[in-house]
Amino acid sequence: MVEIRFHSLGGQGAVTLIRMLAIAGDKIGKEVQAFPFFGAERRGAPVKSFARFDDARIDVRSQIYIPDFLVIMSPTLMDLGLSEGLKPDTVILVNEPLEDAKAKYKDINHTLLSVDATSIALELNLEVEGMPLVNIPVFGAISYATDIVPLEVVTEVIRETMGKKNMEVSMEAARRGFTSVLEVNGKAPARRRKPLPEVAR
Amino acid sequence: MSAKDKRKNVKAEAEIGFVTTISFPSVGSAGQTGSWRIFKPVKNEERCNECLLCWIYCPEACITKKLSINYDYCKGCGICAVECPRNAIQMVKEEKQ
Amino acid sequence: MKIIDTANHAVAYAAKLARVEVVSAYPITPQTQIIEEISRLIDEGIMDCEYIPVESEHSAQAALIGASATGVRVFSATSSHGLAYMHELLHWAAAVRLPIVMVNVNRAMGPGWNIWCDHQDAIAARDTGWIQLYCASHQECVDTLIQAFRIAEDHRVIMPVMVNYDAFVLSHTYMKVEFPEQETVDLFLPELDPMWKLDLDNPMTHGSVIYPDDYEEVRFSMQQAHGNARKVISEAAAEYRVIVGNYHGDLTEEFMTEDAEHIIVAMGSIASEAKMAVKQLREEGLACGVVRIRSYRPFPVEELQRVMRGKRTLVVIDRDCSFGLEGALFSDVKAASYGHSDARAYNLITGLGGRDITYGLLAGAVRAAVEGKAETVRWPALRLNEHHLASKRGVEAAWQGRQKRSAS
Repeated sequence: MVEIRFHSLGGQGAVTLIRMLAIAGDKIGKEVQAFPFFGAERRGAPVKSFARFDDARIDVRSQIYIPDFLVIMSPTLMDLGLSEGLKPDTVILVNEPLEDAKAKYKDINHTLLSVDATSIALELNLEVEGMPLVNIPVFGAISYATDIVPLEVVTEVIRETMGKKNMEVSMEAARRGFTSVLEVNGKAPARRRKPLPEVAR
Repeated sequence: MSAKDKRKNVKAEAEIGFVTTISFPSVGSAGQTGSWRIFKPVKNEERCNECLLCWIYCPEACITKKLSINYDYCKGCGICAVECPRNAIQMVKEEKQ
Repeated sequence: MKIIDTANHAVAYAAKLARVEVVSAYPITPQTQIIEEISRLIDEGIMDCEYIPVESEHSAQAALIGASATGVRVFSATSSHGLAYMHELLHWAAAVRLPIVMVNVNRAMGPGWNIWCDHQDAIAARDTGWIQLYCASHQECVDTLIQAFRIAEDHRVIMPVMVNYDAFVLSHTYMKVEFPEQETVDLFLPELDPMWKLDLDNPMTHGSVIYPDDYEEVRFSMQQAHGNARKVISEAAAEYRVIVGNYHGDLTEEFMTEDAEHIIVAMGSIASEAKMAVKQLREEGLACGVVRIRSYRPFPVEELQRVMRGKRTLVVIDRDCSFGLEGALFSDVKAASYGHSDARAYNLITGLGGRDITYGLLAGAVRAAVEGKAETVRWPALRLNEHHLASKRGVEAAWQGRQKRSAS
């Protein structure tokens, strides 16, 4: 099983993201499970979401405490994300420009990848009421970083689930997300990560 | 349950006592929520005519009646900017720390 | 048809497949998505159904009772306080013998205000006469809802059925669901053939005054209907397996119980998590198994007696508490296996108000019980955190302030 935990802010579109990720996982024949931890939904409040992929039926129903991949959709949530549990080989993907990430996360021992999804969203005018929709570029970046779902499947899911208005630009955002993943604490550009085998916790 | 909570679990059964749903008003019980912000509201003094709509609409009481914004707790929801009839509040991308 | 969606949306599509004719409901988190989706299907002409908007859950159930009495297939969905608000009419629907089917998305009761999962809402409605079924997966929600109409409408039963599943853990989680074709469902679930219905040509009334001389027999008949429902639930599951192909168990689902020495009993999604605990415990050398209760009322008495024979330990997980005693399921399982098992019985009350329970925690608690280190009734996930302490300090300060004022 591969488990991903997401930390995002209300309004960034994480719930849409995990839904599309689950649909993508199903398309490549995986059993999937995706859920947010719903609280009082407030724009700007931290939201946790979870996604599981497995070849066998998924019986686990609890949240993910030691994920294979940790996705931080706002740099302000890095400390929170790190404090909620990791394994030694968890790969972290943060939505932050490379230089900022390099300056800030010198003491993180995990493989740390960056994608500047906010800039991608702003460049493409992917906004909802002033808030950049970072979920789509992050979707592309996850495809690259985790290698669970290929980019073709990502764009296919976007084509099927997004409204006509934003479809083309969203597919472009996902492509840019895919090609913009950089390794923070290693030598850029990032290597692709094969999904890890069976998780023990 | 996180590892931190597991430590707290020790003897909790014996120590619970009178735990109820009563809560008391306090500032910042969710921490400094200003850190959640991506965009911050910035007031344009020249355009503002002190109508106080932003003061009324701010759901977090982060705008005082004297129209100063408390950035420690403002989460950058942007409601003040939307409600301001004179566009005197602009949401500006948070500067890098 | 296969979709990746929430259990709420899946259940809405299942209601359409069941050819529901009248829906009356009032929105409440975490159920709202069901009736939102149904009203969309009706509005877009995809579903041929009357939707009766009402101002409360009490009225929703009342409208269903009225509609059902005219001999049509009816459906509703509610949760938590909504279920509590219609409590009077739950008795009404069962006592007048109407085959109403309703989804209850299990949510904790407030205060403390809480939208997350536990079973307290349905447990509080336990003795209304409704058949209560509990699901543990998205697919089971769909399949159970379709079966529920068969069970409710069977002339040996004619009782309302409540299909329960867990808030958020299932209701808002995206997972795969496969739907049978409409013709397949029609084959399994024929048109409603009511034993009685309100009819202008053949006037009658229902729900009238009954004197002490007549009342007990009416209640005995309800008890008999539940007895018959045991058979009907199993038949429905078996026939559904043949026609549609899916099977989730009869009144119970058993997981690795055959060679088990220690049995975990649970309902709903936490029973699925308990399967993971069993796998872990077996790797550690403890022969454990899970009995998941699918039908809480009627209660699977014979099944539990058979499973529990010769077992060493019984651990019942309750997502509810019958205050002043113990977990409600624990009492029931002990009562059912009385005289049939010498197993030492333990109760875990946990997962209340959506507290996230991992299989690691369950495995640890079961191991402690097996090793005889646990108290009979345990709340294994308890912790005293900063919010509790702040509340305690505030109450303490308020109390001292009152003392001071009354002294001066």
